[in-house]
Amino acid sequence: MGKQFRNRILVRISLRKRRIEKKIRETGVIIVLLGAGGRGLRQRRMLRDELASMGMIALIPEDDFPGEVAPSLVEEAMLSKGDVELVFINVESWGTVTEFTQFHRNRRIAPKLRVLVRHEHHPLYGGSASYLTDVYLTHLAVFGHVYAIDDSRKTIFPTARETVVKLADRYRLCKALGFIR
Amino acid sequence: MRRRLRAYRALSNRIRLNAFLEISRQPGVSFNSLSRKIGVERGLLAYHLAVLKAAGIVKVSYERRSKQTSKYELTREGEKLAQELCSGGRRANRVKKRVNKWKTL
Repeated sequence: MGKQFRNRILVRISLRKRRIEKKIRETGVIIVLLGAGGRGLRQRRMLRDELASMGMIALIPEDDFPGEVAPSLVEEAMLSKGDVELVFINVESWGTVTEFTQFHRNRRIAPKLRVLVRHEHHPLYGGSASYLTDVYLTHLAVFGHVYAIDDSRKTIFPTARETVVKLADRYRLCKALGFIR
Repeated sequence: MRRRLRAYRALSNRIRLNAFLEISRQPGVSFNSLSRKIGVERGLLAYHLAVLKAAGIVKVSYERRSKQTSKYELTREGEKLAQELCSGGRRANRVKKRVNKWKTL
């Protein structure tokens, strides 16, 4: 298949995509869900299905990446060179802390990050004075998007699921309306 | 409609389209072979294949020899889409079907 043929298909795809976007006033968004394993992974899988039913493409590295490549290398390449729009990271384990601190320093990745932290560790709402909370404060001051969550529903803070769905949906709407390119 | 939009969003990228067409040409192609054919960094290709998989147009199966091997093929929806895109679209398909129907009469 020649280059011209591929270009023709690419144009055809983009025309059809635009036609559907105009019709339903929605657009496709690529989202990455990072978080802990175990219960966190189960929660992310449910969230992925919910976002997929809303027409978004949600990726979970543990499920979607082939085993031939090291996950840390894929994540770095994906976030810096790929066309990912939002990266939700639920900081709930030491692994995710490492991921967050690694991405927080990368100027291409950091603006896409949406950091979800337990409300006790949030730099504005919580009382923690740890080093990590200090890093959250730096990220909040420079890039914004550090959200307090509470999955126990005992406080006024929203759950991780509610936060992700609400933000992703609004982002998609803004993109469909042309606020974001 | 939303599923179609997801598929088009996934395919509106040159690397992903190349991978998609390569998989449709050679169902069951391995990750390493795809990476050689498309000539993209392995980490980046893994991401693009993950997007195609999440969009529901490509499926992956794992085979264990000495190392794990991922094999890619199109889903039903992916096959339909590939046929449509390569043959000139749904309208062209409909016209072709009608012509064939008339021929049989």
